Amino acid sequence: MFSELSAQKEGSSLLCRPSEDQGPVFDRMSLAYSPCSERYTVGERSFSRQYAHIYAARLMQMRPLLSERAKQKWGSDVLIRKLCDLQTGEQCCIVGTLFKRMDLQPSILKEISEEHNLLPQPARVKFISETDELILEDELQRIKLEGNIYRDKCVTGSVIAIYGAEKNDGKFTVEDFCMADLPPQSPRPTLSSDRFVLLVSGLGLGSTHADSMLGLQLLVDMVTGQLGDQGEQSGAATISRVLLVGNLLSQNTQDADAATKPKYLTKKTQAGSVEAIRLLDEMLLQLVASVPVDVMPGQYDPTNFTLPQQALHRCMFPLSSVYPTLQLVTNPHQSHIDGVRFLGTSGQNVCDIQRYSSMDDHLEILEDTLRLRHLAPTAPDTLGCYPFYQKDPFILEECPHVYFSGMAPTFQSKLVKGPDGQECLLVTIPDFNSTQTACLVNLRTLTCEPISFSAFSADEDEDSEMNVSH
Amino acid sequence: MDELYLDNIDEYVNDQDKIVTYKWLSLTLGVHVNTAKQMLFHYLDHKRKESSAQLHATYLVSGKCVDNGQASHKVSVIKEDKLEDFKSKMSLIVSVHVYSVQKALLKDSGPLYSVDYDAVKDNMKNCSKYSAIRCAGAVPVSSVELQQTREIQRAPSPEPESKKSGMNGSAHQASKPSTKPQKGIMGMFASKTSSKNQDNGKEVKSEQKEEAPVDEAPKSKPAVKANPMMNFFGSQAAKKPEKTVKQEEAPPSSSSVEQKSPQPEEKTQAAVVKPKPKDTQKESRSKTKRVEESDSEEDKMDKKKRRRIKKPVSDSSDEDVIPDSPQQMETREPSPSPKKEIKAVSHSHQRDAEMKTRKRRRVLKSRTFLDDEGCMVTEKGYESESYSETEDDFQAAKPAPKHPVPAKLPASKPDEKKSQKKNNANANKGSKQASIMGFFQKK
Amino acid sequence: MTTKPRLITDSFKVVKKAKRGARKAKRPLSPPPTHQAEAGAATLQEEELRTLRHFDLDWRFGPCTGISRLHRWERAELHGLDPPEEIRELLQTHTDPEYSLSLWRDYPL
Repeated sequence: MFSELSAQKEGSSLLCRPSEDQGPVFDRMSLAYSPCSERYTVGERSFSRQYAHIYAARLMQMRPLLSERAKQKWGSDVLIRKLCDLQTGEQCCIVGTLFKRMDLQPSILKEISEEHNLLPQPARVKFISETDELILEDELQRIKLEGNIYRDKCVTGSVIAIYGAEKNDGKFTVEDFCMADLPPQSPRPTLSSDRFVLLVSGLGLGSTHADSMLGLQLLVDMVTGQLGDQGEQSGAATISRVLLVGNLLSQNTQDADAATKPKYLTKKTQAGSVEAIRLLDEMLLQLVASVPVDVMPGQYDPTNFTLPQQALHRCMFPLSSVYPTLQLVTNPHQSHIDGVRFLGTSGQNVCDIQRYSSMDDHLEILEDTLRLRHLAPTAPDTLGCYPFYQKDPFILEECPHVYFSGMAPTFQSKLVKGPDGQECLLVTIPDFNSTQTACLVNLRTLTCEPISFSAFSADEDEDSEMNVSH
Repeated sequence: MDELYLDNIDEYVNDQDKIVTYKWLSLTLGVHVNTAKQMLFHYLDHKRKESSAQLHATYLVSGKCVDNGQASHKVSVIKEDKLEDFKSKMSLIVSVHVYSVQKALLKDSGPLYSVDYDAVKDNMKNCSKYSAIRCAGAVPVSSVELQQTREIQRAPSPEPESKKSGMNGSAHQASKPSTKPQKGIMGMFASKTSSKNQDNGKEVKSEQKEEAPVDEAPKSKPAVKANPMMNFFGSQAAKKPEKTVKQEEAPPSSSSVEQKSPQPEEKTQAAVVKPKPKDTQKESRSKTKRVEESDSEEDKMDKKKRRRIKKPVSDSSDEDVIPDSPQQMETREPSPSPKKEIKAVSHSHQRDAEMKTRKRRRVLKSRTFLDDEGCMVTEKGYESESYSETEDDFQAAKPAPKHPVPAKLPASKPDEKKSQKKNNANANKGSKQASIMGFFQKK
Repeated sequence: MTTKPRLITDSFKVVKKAKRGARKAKRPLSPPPTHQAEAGAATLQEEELRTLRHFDLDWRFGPCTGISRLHRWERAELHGLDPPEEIRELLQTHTDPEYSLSLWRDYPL
């Protein structure tokens, strides 16, 4: 625990008169760091391709893995068929990409077709319904699925292997299915001392309610060793890196009207994000002067919208970008910190699966994507994505030690184990702006704990109960 | 330790009615943060003993807190009256210290943030100077070094698959022009941060102003982000006429420029002036700036002369009106494809050029490519082209310049025919179509 | 003031012109090679092109639109699908669009 670690140091109390000696100065623990997100940088940007390629590449990459898993699970003599060779009534295994036909899935074609004459739909949180159908496709064909597969949990784009037989009605009855499960993992080094990486998501600068700003300032002051007793400061010095996981800016900085208003009306107005970026730059400056920081963009940040989101440009941060400790990275982001492999996204992938499946728990969804071995199965169907054609970069080729996603409603973490002894810490990082909570990952023990900040506000006068993470 | 600071704090709190946080105090008095915390405590203790004035304090408490079975580290700022209550709820207390002292009772914690924010703002460069943690790696570096380290980091990374085929060539080509501009702009920022210019609240603006000297531009305008074109032209109106006159007065040998594009300043641009590579970054950000940069050198030379000259008869009023809309269109043109913006440049004196059909003109072309980091870079540069006056629709369509002086081209090129055609298309595409489209389109 | 309306009408005229011009410029790029090829039929070239078209239509190597044949070949190679080596040789020796681009090259996205 970070608290214990910080408390065990016997420092002189600060509730006394100043002494003659200077205050303590601790050295920031520095760790070997190597970013390895090249796969998420898009060099050439050509949008002249269809998305068929990414599905084709995904299936090409996943088929051998899943065939192997299928053999492990259903015996090495299991019959693995392509859909075109399928015989009615024959027990076999098929590897393919799931497609869920959803009536409620928003569709631009539906919207513009006048015959439908649709009433405006209520804003939905979920797009699943009773009439959804699960379909499996391979390179050439597709087949409807029924049986032992939980329709609402599955999402379009997942590559799985199913076992069962085709019935006379042309549907495939699934007896069992399997996912690619955790990819292989390189061993994690044993560390001699506790060291931490701080994960923060959703700073939400530029939001309309500014009360959360003190919380953010406390976070910065804690990390940079300003506040707290000596023990706290020595503890903070072991925070060797800060990862800002997306949504640095608030949604409020995105003015929906700006896109539709004629330009001559908006000429004199400044985009909300300009001021917010300036605030961010100042905040980053305080951080990077004291600790290495990785900045991942998120849904509302000024970079491209489609995954993989490219790093924010340095020229937006004139103050902080002169520090070599500032790393502007992509979303998804992958790096080795002291030999521990971190991988994660700013949460768009998880939120999208939440919308198109029955799952609500971010941690559960995160684990699911790990087991599917795919960061964002719903891309490009319901999640924006660059039209890759050679390889699907969202397929996990190596198992991370820490797998995180941002913009979660609450903090959760869990250690999952893979069939080959892989160990992976899943972390859902809560939205800082609303929860005032960040997470500290201990690299030595591979555990994670929340760290929350609070300040008093006007309305809690009677109730001395402090409002922490909700 | 001498206790002068007690008087200091007293002055801040009672006389100036300030909220004194430990951080503000540390930055103001230049003492270690922990010392500042102790000073505040001492002051509070001291005053309470005197029991003279009413003082309110807030405390910072941090420690372990178990909430719904989830242990977390918690850092809170609380009012004094809740202190004991709060402490009793923590399962482990790590730190307790005075956070702030003030005369008034704070309703919420908003003001505490503002105080710290202002303090930090005033000490941007030294914001962690008095903190308890040093980071060896966090030393500001020059732009060049930064570039190098980034390159080294990038070097061992294998090329993404998609780049391998077909893309490599262009990516490499692109990397050359793009590194320079970055150095330029980075250098600018670097020099900016080192120069002690950190005024509160005006950070952005001052920064923009500073760009100008770096580029040797004679005038600076903070017009970049928000200021609309109209302002820009308004401020320009005074200077513009002078320039035109100067050109008329100039000896025949000097190059004079006919203005076709509605940007007034570009008039002064001689064929020789190529935008420096380091400017390109900014160019993509703001057209207005580019314009200033390029005319700088010439302007300087002739400044004196121009001063004496009175407003030209016909020039100014009209041009002030016309430029507005086409200018906007150009800046807004969204297409990344090479676009052309026509600016005629005459190499000879304006008057004798009228009957000639061949001219040289300078076209502003923008190139968009990916730099070595995968960022889109748009470079604008002038290229001169020869074209023929017979292309009437171009002539007719341009916003009727007051000196309708098609200059003659001293040396016409052999590839004229080709470029004629090209120019025709360019003229249409660049100046008209793109602009009218851009007018309706929202970037 | 009077210059303004004139400016806009002019612009409209020009827009149309430019578009037509641009299209014409693009068109000729692709059709001629096919004509040529048909003229010199029954040659080696025809044979090669047929092999390439077969490669295009081989579903195992995934969709063929929007990417060059070489890219597609490389992708197949990357994923261990053993695309025929002769295809690559063909693609490396010829660079004109008829060879390098897929059968559907005239129908972009």
